[in-house]
Amino acid sequence: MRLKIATLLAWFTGLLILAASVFFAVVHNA
Amino acid sequence: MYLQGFFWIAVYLTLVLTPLFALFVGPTPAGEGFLWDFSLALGFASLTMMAVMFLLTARFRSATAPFGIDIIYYFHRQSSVVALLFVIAHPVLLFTAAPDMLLMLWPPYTPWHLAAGIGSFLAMIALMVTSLRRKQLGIEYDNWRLGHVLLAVIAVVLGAAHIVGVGHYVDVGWKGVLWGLIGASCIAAFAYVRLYSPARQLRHPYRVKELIEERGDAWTVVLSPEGHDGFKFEAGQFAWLTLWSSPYALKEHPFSFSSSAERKDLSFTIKTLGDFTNRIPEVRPGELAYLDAPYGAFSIDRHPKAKGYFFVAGGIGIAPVMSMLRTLADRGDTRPLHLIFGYSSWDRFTFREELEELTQKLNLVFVPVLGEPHEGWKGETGMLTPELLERYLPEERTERVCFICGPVPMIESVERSLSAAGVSLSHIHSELFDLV
Repeated sequence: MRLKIATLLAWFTGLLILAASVFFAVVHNA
Repeated sequence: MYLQGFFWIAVYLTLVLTPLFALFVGPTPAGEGFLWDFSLALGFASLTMMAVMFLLTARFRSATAPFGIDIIYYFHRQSSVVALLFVIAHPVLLFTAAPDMLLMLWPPYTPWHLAAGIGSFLAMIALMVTSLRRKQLGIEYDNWRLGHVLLAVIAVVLGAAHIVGVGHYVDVGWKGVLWGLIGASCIAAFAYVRLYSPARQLRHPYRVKELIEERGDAWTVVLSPEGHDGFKFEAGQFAWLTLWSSPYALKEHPFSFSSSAERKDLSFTIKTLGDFTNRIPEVRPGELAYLDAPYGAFSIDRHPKAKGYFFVAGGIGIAPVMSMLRTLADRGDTRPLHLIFGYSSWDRFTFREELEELTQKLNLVFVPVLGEPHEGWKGETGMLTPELLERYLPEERTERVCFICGPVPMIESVERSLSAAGVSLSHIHSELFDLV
């Protein structure tokens, strides 16, 4: 269970960073 | 403990996201297209993630206590894969946005900051390949540790040089300070774990008191504190043990305590499985040892109000469970306990005599499960199946706290079985060995 939570958290963090990066690129070029 | 856990997860998210938000704030260069800026943001994000790895693996007790340091290292491994994907995406997106820049890869035209970026990229690839495939590549653990630290430092230092050389978004005063702080915290974390911690270990040495041969190719190393009072640990925790070298030499290995938390002498029960552990039979009484300890959240002492404990162990995963059982025996505990312990054969069954003795001292039901039973064996056999566990789980299972230690597939299978049998996930705890 802890393994699953740790894996989910790592990939969730990655998705957050990806979303923030896309957001930055979109806003900065609007 | 849950609140502390959420607090540290929030700190982690803030650390990895802050530099990205800093891109939005203050004077910024004009946008150079979606792909270009997307690539740039991923470059910053991946370097920040790499830098935060230094903090993740610095073994800060308050930050690791809510999770257990084994899971922190597992998270480090998973996050590193995510960071590597961003590292790969950074140049791919950049060269897609500006194919002309590919010319800069031709050495005569390569600026130093691009060379630094390429160096960081290659170091990161090498880090991942050697970590995910260490055993297949035949790299000894000690050599891997040393190489891992060196490659990590090279990846981050060259990555930082790349960012400074390119000069986008770091030439404004406060942003420079922000990146300076991130760099300084990396250096501080590195200094803490590689300089301060070894110095503390040198001041508090241990001496080997005894080496005991156990059943199943396992050896118990008993240590006594030398010139100091030792430390208190929670039954089930573990230590990084250094033998035959200085604590500065990066030749430490993690092992669970197998001794009672109520006694001054410490013991580790180690199975001969690899390069370092195969040398354990050569340990001689009187030799010096160093410990970085205690660590881990796999302990009955984290759940003192439980109405009983249900232990499941496989192979040498019995070591931390022995620590907990011996501690409970020393404390005169009368709560109901179960131990389901799987091993290959009765002849090699580590601690079998002491476990049988413990059933007299404790309110313990001991269930040995043999993978290769001998003729005439009347006990349990085979795998630790849901049906087998169901036979021994008490009616009041929701009030029991369960501890599982052994190979990862066994842990995952037993966790599923216990959960399906009605044990709350918050009552199921496990300890991972052998992560790399």
